[in-house]
Amino acid sequence: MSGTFFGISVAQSGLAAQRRAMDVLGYNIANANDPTYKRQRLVMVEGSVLAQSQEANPLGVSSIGSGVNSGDIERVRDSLIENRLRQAGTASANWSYRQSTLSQLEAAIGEPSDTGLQTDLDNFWASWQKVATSPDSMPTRNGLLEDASALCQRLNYVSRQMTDMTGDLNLAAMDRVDKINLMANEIGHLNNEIGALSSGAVPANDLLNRRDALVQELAKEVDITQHGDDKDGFVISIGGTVLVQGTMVNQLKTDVDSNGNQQVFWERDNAPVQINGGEMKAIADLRDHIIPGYMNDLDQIAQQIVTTVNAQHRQGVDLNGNTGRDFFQEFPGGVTAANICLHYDSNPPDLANPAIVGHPERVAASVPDNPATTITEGGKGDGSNALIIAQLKDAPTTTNFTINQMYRNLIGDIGGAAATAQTQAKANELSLQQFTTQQQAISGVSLDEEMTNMIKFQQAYNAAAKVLGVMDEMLTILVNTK
Amino acid sequence: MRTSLSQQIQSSLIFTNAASQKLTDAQNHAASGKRIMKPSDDVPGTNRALSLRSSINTVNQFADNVTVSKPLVDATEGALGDMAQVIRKIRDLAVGAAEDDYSGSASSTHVADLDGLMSQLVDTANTKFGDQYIFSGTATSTPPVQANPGPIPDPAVQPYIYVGNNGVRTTQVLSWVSLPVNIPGNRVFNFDTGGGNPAGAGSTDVFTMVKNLRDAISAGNVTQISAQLGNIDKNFDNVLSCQAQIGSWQSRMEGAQTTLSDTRDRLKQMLSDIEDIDLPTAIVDLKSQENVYQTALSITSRMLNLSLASINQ
Repeated sequence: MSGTFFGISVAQSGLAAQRRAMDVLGYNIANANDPTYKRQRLVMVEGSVLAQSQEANPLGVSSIGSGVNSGDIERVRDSLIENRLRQAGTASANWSYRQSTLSQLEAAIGEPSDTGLQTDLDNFWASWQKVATSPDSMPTRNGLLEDASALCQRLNYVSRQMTDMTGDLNLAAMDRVDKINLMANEIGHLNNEIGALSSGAVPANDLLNRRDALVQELAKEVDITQHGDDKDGFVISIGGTVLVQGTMVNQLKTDVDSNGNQQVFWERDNAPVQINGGEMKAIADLRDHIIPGYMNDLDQIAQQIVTTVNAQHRQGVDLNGNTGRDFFQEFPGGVTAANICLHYDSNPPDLANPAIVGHPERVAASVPDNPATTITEGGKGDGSNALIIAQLKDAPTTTNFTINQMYRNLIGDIGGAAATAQTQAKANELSLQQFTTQQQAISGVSLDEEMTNMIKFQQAYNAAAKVLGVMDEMLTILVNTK
Repeated sequence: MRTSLSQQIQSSLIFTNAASQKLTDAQNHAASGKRIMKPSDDVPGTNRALSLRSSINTVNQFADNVTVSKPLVDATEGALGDMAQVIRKIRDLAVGAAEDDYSGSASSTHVADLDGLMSQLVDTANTKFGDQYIFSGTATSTPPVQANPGPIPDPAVQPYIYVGNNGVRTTQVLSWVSLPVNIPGNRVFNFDTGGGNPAGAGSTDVFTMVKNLRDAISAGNVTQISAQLGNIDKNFDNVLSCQAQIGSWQSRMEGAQTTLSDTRDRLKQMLSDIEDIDLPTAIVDLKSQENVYQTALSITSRMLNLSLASINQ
């Protein structure tokens, strides 16, 4: 036979449990709008059958328990989906970073338009045609120098845009490394606190939520793998090397490579970090392969312009009857899109090859006099050499493409890469959204559900209170018995 | 499936963002009138657009070449016409002189006429177009015909010499056609600059031709005057053939002009087909994206108001 006040204590445990459930419910509603919050649930278990009631049932007939135990408050989550969500975050961040950088590059190039590099190229060749038609006109010759100089400046500008972009990417890499280190440290601290709390009976749900959010954030920067359970054995690694294990953090650092780019290394042993995803991967690929590839193509265009035009220009004769002179400046280290310019005076000036800048009369528009002709006067009205140069426009260079084709190929490459990045960014964004939605479906707070539960807990609380009241009446009857 | 508040908000955001993105795109395309605004919008299209644009610029330059060169050719054609007329007059004069009885005064009238025609010839030979002497070959800053300073060749035999050159200036009028725009004076005036007289053996340059005729008339030698007619005819034919050549270049330039303007129109049409939007489609698209966006907004605002919590008890 159970004790006299056994029923009261059972009812009391019911009251306590329902109230505690209401507390959790209030907490859920309070955090309903936090996207990193995972809803919590009070786990209610039947109270164990106490010794005294077993004594009362020597025959082993089942007996009621001692009420309800409201034990752990658990987080509702699905770690499989969280894992997927993390991977989707890595892929999405990688592609959207590529997409935004390549869009910037497209904007810098500004094609197709009436004001892009293509137009400058066209104007340059057209100017040679103009000089070929009116070789003795100084304004026309000046126009050619202007257009040539505009072409050079445009190439310099596009090249500088790409260099600036590489510089920005280096800053971004350093910034990301700082961010990763900060997050890794915070995860380490959290692991410490989670360990301390979990050793007691208090669940560290808030800290775990915070850590999940950090890991998700970290996954955007770089591809990480997470092993181990939620407590002490928690490990995050990048490319097979541990970044965080429990409270131990292995920091990253950047160091300049031979190209002046910031590469990422492990602080502890200076080994390079194997990065295969996330924004860090996008940054490294764009900076080390994609943009340098475009710069190389642009340099090739500049080189071909200078080589072909200069070679023909040296064959020609200028208004003063001089020959063998350069139109574009040639550099010992080679011409690039960054340094291409009109031929200027060296120091000390080379009298056999003086500057063309400011000297339109030095444009070698004419071919040398035919030695078979008996008439000697220099042909100022001859624009044959200018015409030959103008026709270089359609001549294949040593790359088997014309200069125009080389430029179109470059634009095609950039456009293709940007288009791929756009498609991929969109697709990965979509899958990220789907996983986010799934994760929110499981872990997010539903107000309707909480409202329904509120009624449920309220009714249960009412009922338990009623039981208590009736018990009280019954005891009153017992106490008042004479 | 269970739904949660953040899931609802997230989905609403996805839909409204997507709708707003599409609306912005549609607006940009409709406002700019361009289908391709950056290379990634259509990679092969961009390639074609760049190539077409470049072709249009080239065609414009060729048209420019024709515009600049055509007046020069026209001027040359005019000068050759003048020259032919002068030579015809010289021939008439020679024929008239051969029939004269040479009573003294007639011969001096003929000589005075010839001197006038000679200076007309020299003026025509040194015709300028702008700053350029049109018959100097490529030595356009030098008057092509000058009085012979001697001693070689002998000024008494050849009164004028050619100081231009053989140069032929060409201009490109189509990607596969380059046309000459000048005829060097030695060819027109029949100077022997190596390789014989262009008008044929036994002929002299036009100025020597006039001088010889003048000498014959001054001498009153009718036989000698008649003997000059062959040379005059050869020179006349030579100038006419030069004129015919110039005429053919003129007509080819005119043909090129037509070809170029047709080509330019066609290229512009092709560029527009690639680069520009189809306006009705763009506007319909814009309208429909507007509707989609509005729907997304109103669904969001309705859905987010629905909850057990917001129903009055």
